[in-house]
Amino acid sequence: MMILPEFELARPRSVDEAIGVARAATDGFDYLGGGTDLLCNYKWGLNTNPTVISLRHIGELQRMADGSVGGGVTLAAIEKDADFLHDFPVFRRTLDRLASPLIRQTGTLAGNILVDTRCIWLNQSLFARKALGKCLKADGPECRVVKGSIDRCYANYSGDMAPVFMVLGGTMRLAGPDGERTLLLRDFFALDGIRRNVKQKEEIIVSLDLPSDAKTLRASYQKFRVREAWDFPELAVAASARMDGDRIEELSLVANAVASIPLWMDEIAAKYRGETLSDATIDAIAEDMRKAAKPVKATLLPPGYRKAMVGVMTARALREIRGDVVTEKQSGEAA
Amino acid sequence: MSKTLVTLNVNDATYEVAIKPQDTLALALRDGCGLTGTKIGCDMGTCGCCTVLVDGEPALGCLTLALEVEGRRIQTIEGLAGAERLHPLQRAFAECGGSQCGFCTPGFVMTSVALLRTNKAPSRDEIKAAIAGNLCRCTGYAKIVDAVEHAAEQIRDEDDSVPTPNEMSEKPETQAGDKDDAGIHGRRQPATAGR
Repeated sequence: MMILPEFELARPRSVDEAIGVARAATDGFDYLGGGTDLLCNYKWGLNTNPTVISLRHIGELQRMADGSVGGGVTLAAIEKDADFLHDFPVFRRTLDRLASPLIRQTGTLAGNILVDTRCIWLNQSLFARKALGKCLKADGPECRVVKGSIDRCYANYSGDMAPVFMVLGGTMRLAGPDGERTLLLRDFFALDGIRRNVKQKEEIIVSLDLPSDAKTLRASYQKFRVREAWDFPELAVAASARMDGDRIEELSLVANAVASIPLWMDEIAAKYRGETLSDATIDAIAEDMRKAAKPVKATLLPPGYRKAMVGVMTARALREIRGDVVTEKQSGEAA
Repeated sequence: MSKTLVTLNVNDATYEVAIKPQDTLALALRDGCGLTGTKIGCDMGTCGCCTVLVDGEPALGCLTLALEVEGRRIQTIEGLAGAERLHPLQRAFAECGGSQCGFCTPGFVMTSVALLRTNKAPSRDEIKAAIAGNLCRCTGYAKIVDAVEHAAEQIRDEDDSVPTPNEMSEKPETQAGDKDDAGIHGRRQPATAGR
């Protein structure tokens, strides 16, 4: 049995109350959404804190309407929202491939956006980490993946919802001690496996919001993982496009789970706006994405294979956007 | 950390349990309520052995803090059968060989209960999708899918709705466990979860 460390549990009823508890927790705290990530990390003894602040009892975080999804809405609730899935069908496939049905029952949207970075050196029991040698992200002197790195962690981002919200132009509403602020989700992440994003520790994700014109985008999320259910992505690609006939009017691309954050590939996308979405264009975009992705050995599969699969997944995403029938093969057959 | 005396509503009975803030629901059910039908497998949300229903929805007992479900309606495998008869899913698992070592079975059954409440005639693919978060190391899954399919047929034949624990509440006078430490019906003496 995995034993949770001791902590005090606060159960505030409002965002303001939660922020107040956080500010008072001078010895350190963590917010608890669904708990499917945080409690696992706590059981591993990873970066635990003496205060845990549950956000599950805050009604403001549970709202969902017109492309706005509260940070505390469970993934299962999104999955069951027929209107939302009608407006943004790409989430049907994304959610279907996100964790297991049981995890989705409890896991929240904000929890998935903020899912801690993962690494084969990090996500181990304390016993294993002691034997292997601790890493930079958990009490060690240097990164074990990129040896010699003492100021940057290379653990892998493993959320699935963020890249889709990013390519749809999603914004994030944060509430903190200094009030509320809104930022584009694509500007939220910071390239370091420890820092991860620009959120202040006390800030809470109130909602993620999609612009109304996102409904007219065609989008696709292609995820590669070892085990069909439950597994975190070994790599993934999110893409969206607004088409004018067969011409690409707008294009957005994200390479996911090949770095410590979902990578916003704006330069590649800009290069192909105005082009015809032909097989040749798809192959060229896929090759550019493959070259741009630089995964390291932080996950199960070899980096070279994951890099190659970024191209494959990009091509699949773009073909799906074009209207081709894309069949997802079983893992292991995909290459 | 100090313990808190909380009231858990499990299988329509009330349990007063002393728990620490970090105690999981699975731990509170097993050590606090004496309901050991809920199993703890991986304890990390991967295997689904600890699945119970909270307000009718499946939940992982190992990743749910017990304090978080105070006042909510919890259903475990013990609350499924009546005094005289098993729930159709339990019967089907026995009849179809869906259970071998049995450790994962409570989780599979509870997940399947939730499925059959919302989908009375699931296809095999829908059953496989619904139980994707439950792991079995013995059966190879085929007989589990057979069992859920068979139970769905039985339920449709017997009754147009899946019996809820309430509907099958031919409960024994006392809850599972030592009768001596049970108080009035469905109410146990304060017990201690955890270590």
